[in-house]
Amino acid sequence: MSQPRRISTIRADGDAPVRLFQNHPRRLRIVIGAVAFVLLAASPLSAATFRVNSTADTDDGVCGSAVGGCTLREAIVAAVETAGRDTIRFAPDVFVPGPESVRIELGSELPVIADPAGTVIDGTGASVRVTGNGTITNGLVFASAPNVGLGKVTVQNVSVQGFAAHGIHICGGVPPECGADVTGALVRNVVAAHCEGTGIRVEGRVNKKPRVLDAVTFATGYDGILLSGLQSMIGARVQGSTATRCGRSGIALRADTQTGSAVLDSFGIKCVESGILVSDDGATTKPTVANVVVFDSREGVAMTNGRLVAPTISNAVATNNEVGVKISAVDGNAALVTKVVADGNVVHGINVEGGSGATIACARVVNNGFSGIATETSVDLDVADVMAMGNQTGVTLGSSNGVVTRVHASVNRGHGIDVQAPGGNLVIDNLTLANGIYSSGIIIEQGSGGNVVRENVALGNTFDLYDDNLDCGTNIWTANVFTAGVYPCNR
Amino acid sequence: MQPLISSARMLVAGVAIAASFFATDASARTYVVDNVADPVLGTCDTPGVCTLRQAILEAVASPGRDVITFDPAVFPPQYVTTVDVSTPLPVVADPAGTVIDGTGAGVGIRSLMPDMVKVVEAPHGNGLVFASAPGVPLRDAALIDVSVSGFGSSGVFVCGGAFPACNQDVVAPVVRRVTSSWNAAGILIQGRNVAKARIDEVVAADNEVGILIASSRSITGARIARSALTANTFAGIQLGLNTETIADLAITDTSASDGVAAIIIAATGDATKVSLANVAVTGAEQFGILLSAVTLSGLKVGGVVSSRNGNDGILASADTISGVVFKDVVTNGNAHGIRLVSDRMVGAKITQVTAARNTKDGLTLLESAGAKISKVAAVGNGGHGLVVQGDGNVLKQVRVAENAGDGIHLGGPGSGNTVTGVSSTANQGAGIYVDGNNVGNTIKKNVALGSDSIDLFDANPACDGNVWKSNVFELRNVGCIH
Repeated sequence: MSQPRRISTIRADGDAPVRLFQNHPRRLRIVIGAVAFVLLAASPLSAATFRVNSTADTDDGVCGSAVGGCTLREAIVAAVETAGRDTIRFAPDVFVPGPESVRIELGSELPVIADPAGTVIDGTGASVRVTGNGTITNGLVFASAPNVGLGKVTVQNVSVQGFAAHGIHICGGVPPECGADVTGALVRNVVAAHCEGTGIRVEGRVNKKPRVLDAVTFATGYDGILLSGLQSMIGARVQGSTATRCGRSGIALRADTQTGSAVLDSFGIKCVESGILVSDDGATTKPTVANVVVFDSREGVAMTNGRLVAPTISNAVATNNEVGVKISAVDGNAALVTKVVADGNVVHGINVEGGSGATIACARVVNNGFSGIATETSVDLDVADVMAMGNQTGVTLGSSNGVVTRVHASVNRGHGIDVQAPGGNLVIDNLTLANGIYSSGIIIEQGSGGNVVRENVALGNTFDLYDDNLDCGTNIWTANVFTAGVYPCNR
Repeated sequence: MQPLISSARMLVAGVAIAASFFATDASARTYVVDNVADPVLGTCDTPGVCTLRQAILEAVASPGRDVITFDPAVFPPQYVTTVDVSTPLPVVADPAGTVIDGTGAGVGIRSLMPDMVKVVEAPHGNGLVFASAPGVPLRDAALIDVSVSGFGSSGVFVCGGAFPACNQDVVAPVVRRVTSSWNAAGILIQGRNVAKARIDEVVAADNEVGILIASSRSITGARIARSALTANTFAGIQLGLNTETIADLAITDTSASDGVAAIIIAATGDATKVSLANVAVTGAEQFGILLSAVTLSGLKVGGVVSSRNGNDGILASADTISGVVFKDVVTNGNAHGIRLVSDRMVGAKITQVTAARNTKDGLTLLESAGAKISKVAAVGNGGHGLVVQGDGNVLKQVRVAENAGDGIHLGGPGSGNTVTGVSSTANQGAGIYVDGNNVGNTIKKNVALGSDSIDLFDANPACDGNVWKSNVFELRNVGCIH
């Protein structure tokens, strides 16, 4: 293996690069910029592979091939010095998997892996745990250079833990601004634990196709996994991952605009904010959250956006959050929430606010503190094929001009279906049984008009059918089956 | 008032049409109850004096499948008008079955009899009792659109044969749109064999048992649909009481809460083709759903949520279990999520099941052979995520995380199991654990990371024929794991 000499300026002169950055950000940017310039000027496609064969954290300036001759620090420095998309691997005979972790305990900050071409760190076949013991700021930091995009960083099969900031940070440009683009970042089979910042963080101006696959984060002070774009994010994907015990959100996708973001087959649990979050201030198109379990967080799954187009949340189990599933958009359309089970959330099971044309279907909402399903200020929102049981209210409809059908709302502590203002909804072919004392199977609240309630079955409620508007106002009740309607206009 | 009267006439006409539908015997009669009083005041031929008690007496005396309806002018549909019963009503004893139909009216039957200790299956203190005669089965009894409450024994009692022996068959009873509360049993159907019982859109609350079908021999073809059971102290639904066999049973679109168990299905012999679909059960002291038989086959559980029950979310226990299918099931916050316990279980299919936050194990299969477990998530359980013990089981695309025990625990004895495509992360025990006497297994292409203990653990020191291959992990206990 070639043993390239290092460029001396990359060394931190006793100070860690990140600390240099923290204390002297301009200095670091100059250094990284110089490195990038050198690399860009160097002959292309000279990528090399460096094999870490020492668990020490020393740096003698050489990444040697003999056992003990190349530390992670030395390999990083060598990779940074070498043009192209270099790869750092780990010697399986040194990093032997066993009952105890094989640790690289850092004594100081690792150098920033500053290479616009991207770098691969791959622990496949080895057992690698990089630890900061809580005193080192960051684990593995990838960057490019000011205004220079970062491409194709790959981190896989390694574990990082015990950092005062982030476990893995992939940054387009230079941290902390990360103002340049980042493309094709891949984090796979990575554990990031006990980090006071973010466990795994990928960010840039435009963040294209970042992927986090089969990753685990736990005990993070900030988000477990954060994918973000200052300007936009395209095709972000988190799949097969677990984020638990986090200070903010478990899995967070944030960008001013997002297209095609997806969180699949993942868990977001025990987080101060959202288990899974898709958020922006601009617009998000076709985000997907599917096959997830979220619990013990503020929101299980949250999509909070300025404009939200065709979001889908499907096959989700959300339990013991404040709100199980929440979609909130200033503007947006065609949200689909389907096959969601929301059980025992403190406030609502499913909450949709704003937008138009949403559908909540095939949901089971049980034992939620307030509403199993609560809709607010939305239009043309349909609710279909829902089992709502043991909530305060089964379905609370604050939306308008939608259809509620095939809802089975029973044994809720309050109303089965509560139609609030403004109204204009069609409530048809629902079943409400044995809801709360002094409550109704189906109630239309005062001020809600233009609703049609027909062909429902309401039995065993204190008031099976109830309209709080004089003579039912502009609401039409017809062809319902009940034994306790309050007014003659309830038919 | 004119519109109301007009509506009432239309309803009466509707009732008459319904009555003609039910009346298949030319000699059958329809009696319209037009007085809310309890005692006999006169015959039902005289307007205004036909009480429920009198209507029952006349229907029993009349051959054929008689129909008893209620005058909506006396029992307005806007609310429940109650017949307060001071002494037990006559038994509706007619082998042809009698229809009591409150459609279009608001009808309640309430006990004013002295409080007594509530006893299920007692001869006294029942509300509406349908029966036939000694040695004669009861067919086609129907109760529709009536509320029943406050009886020391059963609110509704459908009895095959003479009451209270109930030792003959009950065929095709219908209980529809009935609310039964504050009784010992809300609805009790009892006979030697009970066939094709239909219970639909029923509310049973604050009873000891909401719905009880008790048969000494068999229960076949029962359907319980679109019903709600709550605050029943023993069980919301109990199918089987010393019953030999249960077959072709379906519970759909139903919620049940509270009690020792929300739903109990128990046979002393075989239980076959039992189906639960779109069912929610919660808050039981012990079991959300309890299934017990000597042989349990053809069990299908789909679209079920079982949460916050004191012991098992779903427990199926039998000597032998076969043909079990669980699909689209969520158990949350129970002690055990799902347990399938038997001496021998063959061919279970478990897919799209989530077991979360149960205080013990998420999903347990014991003595299982050839089970196919896929797309299962077991998260945040207080014990193991998934426990499988037996031979030749296949676990595929299973995701387990944050369990206090092992993510996946292959218990012994066992052999020939396959674990592939599994993600087991952040468990406090092992990610995947193979017990000491579980050998010849293949564990490949799994991801096990972030365990507090060991990611991959084989209690056999040399793996003993277990093939560990192409797994992603950080920690292992023996070098034969790859």
